[in-house]
Amino acid sequence: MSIIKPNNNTLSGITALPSGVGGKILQIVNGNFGTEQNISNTSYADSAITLNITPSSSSSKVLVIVAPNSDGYVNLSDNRQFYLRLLRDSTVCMIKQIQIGAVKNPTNDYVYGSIDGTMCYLDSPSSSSQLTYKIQAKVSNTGNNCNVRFNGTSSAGHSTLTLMEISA
Amino acid sequence: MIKVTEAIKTINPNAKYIISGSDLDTCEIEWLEGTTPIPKADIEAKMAELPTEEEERTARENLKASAKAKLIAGQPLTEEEANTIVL
Repeated sequence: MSIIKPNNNTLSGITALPSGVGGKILQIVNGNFGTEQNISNTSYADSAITLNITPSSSSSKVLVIVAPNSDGYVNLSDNRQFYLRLLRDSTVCMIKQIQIGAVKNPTNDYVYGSIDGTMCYLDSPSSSSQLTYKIQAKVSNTGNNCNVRFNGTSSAGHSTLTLMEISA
Repeated sequence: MIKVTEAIKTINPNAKYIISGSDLDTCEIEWLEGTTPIPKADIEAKMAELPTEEEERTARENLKASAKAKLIAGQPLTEEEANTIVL
C-alpha cells in the first residue's frame, strides 16, 4: 500500500490534519491501580484512581476512559445507591449512579453488587496546563457498613484510567 | 478488609473514612468529615471479638434448623428465626 504525503511533508512533519479529516492521538497516559480501597462516606471522596496530563494545545480534546474494578457492599437487605464520578481538577465531567439491592450473601449476611463504573468521556478542557483527572466515590447512606470498594476480594483486581489527547 | 470496616462500624456506626490497602497493619486510613480517628489497636481488638464467617454460618444454620422444627411442630417462631425464612 502506498503512503500519500500531503504537500510532500515527511510523516513526522505532519502535526495537524485537514479540517474534517478527524483527530490524531497526540499522547496517551495510562495508569493501573491495584490498591484495595474501601470508601464509606456520603460526600464524594477521592479514590486512588487519578492521572495527570498536560495537553500540547488548548484546542486539544481529552478522551477519558475509566474502567474501575469496583463493587459495593452493605450488611443489610436494602436498596442503597453507590456513586462514582469523574473530575477534571474541580470540574465534574460525569457521574454514575448504581443501585444495589439484593438478597444477602448466605456466607456472611452481606449484600454485594458489582458497580459498573465504566466511563468514557470526551473532554474539551481548553487548556494547555497540567490537568488532573480523578475518580471519586460515595454512598447514599453509610449505615450497616455500606462501602464502595475498589480492587477488593482479589489481589488480581485492577482499575485503569486512560487519558488520550486528541488534536482538534 | 470487610472485617476491618465491620470492626470500625461496630465501634462507631457513623464513621466515615477511606481505607487504602488490604491489610490492617499496612493500610492507610483517612478519617472524613470530623470522624474521630480510631487507633488500629482498637480496630484489631474489635476484629478479634467479631464472629468468624464459620461461626456466623453455623449460627445461621442452627437458627434455620430451629425455625424449620418449630414450623413443623406448629410452634411460634422468634423474629430472628422468621428472618431466616423471610426475604
